[in-house]
Amino acid sequence: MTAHRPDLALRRLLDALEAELLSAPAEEIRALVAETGMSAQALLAEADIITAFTTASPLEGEVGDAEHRRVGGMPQPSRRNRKGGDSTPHPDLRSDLPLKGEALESGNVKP
Amino acid sequence: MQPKRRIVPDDEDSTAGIARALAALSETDLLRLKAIARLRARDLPPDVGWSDLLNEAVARALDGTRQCPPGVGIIAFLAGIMRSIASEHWRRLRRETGIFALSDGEGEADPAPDPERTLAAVQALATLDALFAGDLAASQILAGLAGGLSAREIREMYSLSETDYDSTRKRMRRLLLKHGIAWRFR
Repeated sequence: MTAHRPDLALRRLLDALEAELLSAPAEEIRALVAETGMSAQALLAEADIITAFTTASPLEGEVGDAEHRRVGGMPQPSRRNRKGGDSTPHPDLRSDLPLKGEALESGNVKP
Repeated sequence: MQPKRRIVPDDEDSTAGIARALAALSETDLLRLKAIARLRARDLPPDVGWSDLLNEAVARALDGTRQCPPGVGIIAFLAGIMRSIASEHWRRLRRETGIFALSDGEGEADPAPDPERTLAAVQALATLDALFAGDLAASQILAGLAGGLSAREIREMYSLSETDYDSTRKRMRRLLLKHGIAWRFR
């Protein structure tokens, strides 16, 4: 997989693989969690990923300043024991990328 | 395919809508995001972690730096921000190192990358190659995707049936998810 422009090759690859992850059925993710022998909470505890999701919420009055922030500079307030269903909608991107189907061949999207 | 829905209602402040959508994420959603962040972090230098990338994306979504386009779900929105952050990192590095850029505009010809970006990309490609080593069809699909080929072109080039292609794609997805949610391999 040596490409003349490895940066472009990587970008194309990441876009396609990301679309796969976006479209993965929730049951598949739950099954993989079960295979690990760990709880979802434990898997999410790494790097405080759970706590990251209520950080700097304007509903809680703390908003970061993009001009003075760098990657990784976000504060980490607490939130534990999330519950709930997979209710967040996201577009099915499988048809937009060559990993899934023939959307490209139909000329609907740019590669 | 489910109809696309806006995550931010028209009558709601967009930042508040983003905050609500984030708060509604399930564990499965969060694990999916973790896997996506870990994947996308491969397009960044090793000293930038996937959680840094994800946190920055969340911050930009919350502070309004980025607006969620209509019809895009919160996970796809955050994934897009992470992609932009990675691109922005390399553009900034190119400016700071004084390497002449032919164009910074999206949709225009990509300027030649600086050596650090090239090295990082080569290493990331090698890591992805190694992840799927031993699965010939997966390696073939990876090579085709990296080359910008369509699904049909990949199947034709490597004589893969539609069934072979689809089943390989599922194996690839499972492996990516497994590594993305549970294992470090960077």
